[in-house]
Amino acid sequence: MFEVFFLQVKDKVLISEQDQNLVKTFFSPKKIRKKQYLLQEGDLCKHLAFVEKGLLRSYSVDEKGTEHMIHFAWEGWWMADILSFLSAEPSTYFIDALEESELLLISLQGFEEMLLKVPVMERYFRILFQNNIISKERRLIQSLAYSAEEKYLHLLANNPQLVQKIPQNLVASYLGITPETLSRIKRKITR
Amino acid sequence: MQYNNIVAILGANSAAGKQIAECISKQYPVLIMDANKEVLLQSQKAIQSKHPAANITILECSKEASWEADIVIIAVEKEEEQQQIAERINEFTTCKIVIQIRPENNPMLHLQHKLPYAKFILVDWGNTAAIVEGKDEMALSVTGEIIHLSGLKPIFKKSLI
Repeated sequence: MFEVFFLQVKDKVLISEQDQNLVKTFFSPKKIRKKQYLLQEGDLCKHLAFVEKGLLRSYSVDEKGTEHMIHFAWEGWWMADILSFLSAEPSTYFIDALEESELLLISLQGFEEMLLKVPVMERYFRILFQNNIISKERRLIQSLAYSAEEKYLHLLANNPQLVQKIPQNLVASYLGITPETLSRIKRKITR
Repeated sequence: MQYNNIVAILGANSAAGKQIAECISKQYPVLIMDANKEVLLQSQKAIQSKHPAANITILECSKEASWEADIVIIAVEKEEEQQQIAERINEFTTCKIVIQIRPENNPMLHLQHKLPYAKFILVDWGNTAAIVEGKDEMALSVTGEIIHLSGLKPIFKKSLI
């Protein structure tokens, strides 16, 4: 149940067997079905979710009902509305499962307690949050300065798994372009 | 929109299990599990005919039910079965609310020691009231609501568990 989780942790920090056993006591295992919500707009995001198996997405919905993809998470990735989780403000996101998924959930209280009791996890999350900031900065720059084709090529080069795993209409939404534009770009690249 | 906690009732064919399933399924998505699937199907049909919007699903495995649920209710009537279920679901209930239903005048042992990482609540089930015992404030509040919805008066007792 914690196989992928500890592979990820050990990839970034050294953690003892004893600390691993302690860490396990802070996480709630949760299985969710395809299309089931983990978070809905207006709710508080009460957990950070680690994906052991499956695929989650987070998205917002505008007043016209159009979905805007924010983030995808598959095996080994984390998912949450971090703003709502840390600030206790209602979320503006939805999070649901694109496939049946097996998750590990941790509450804010559990998270803080774990960081106090297992300092190596604080280091792990510092690295994780640093990477997250870098990735968000990159995405902001892309959305402001890149053409649709450049955005797609960048995604293909840096995150090919996302292009392979995710339905194309959702990839288009993630890039902020229409599915038709994405098809046109893909045809052009193939030629 | 609000996320509703999913409640698994293990031993949903018992008197308390049936009562809880029927009364809370308007409010919570419910997973019901018991050895006799025929009886579960009858309960599911009866509840859905009364409350067409009820979200009630039959599961055949206590582990799967506990894995999917946010709140687990152990409502089987025999002590030995309760102990076996607790052993089976332990690794799936870390940080989850687990409510043990103890039938009236039944001195069976509580399951806290078998579920050390769950937010454990013991409920002594009566005809008109239920005595609720546990340490976690949020778990006590949720249990109180479930008991109230089930038509009983929750009486909170200082926890000795």
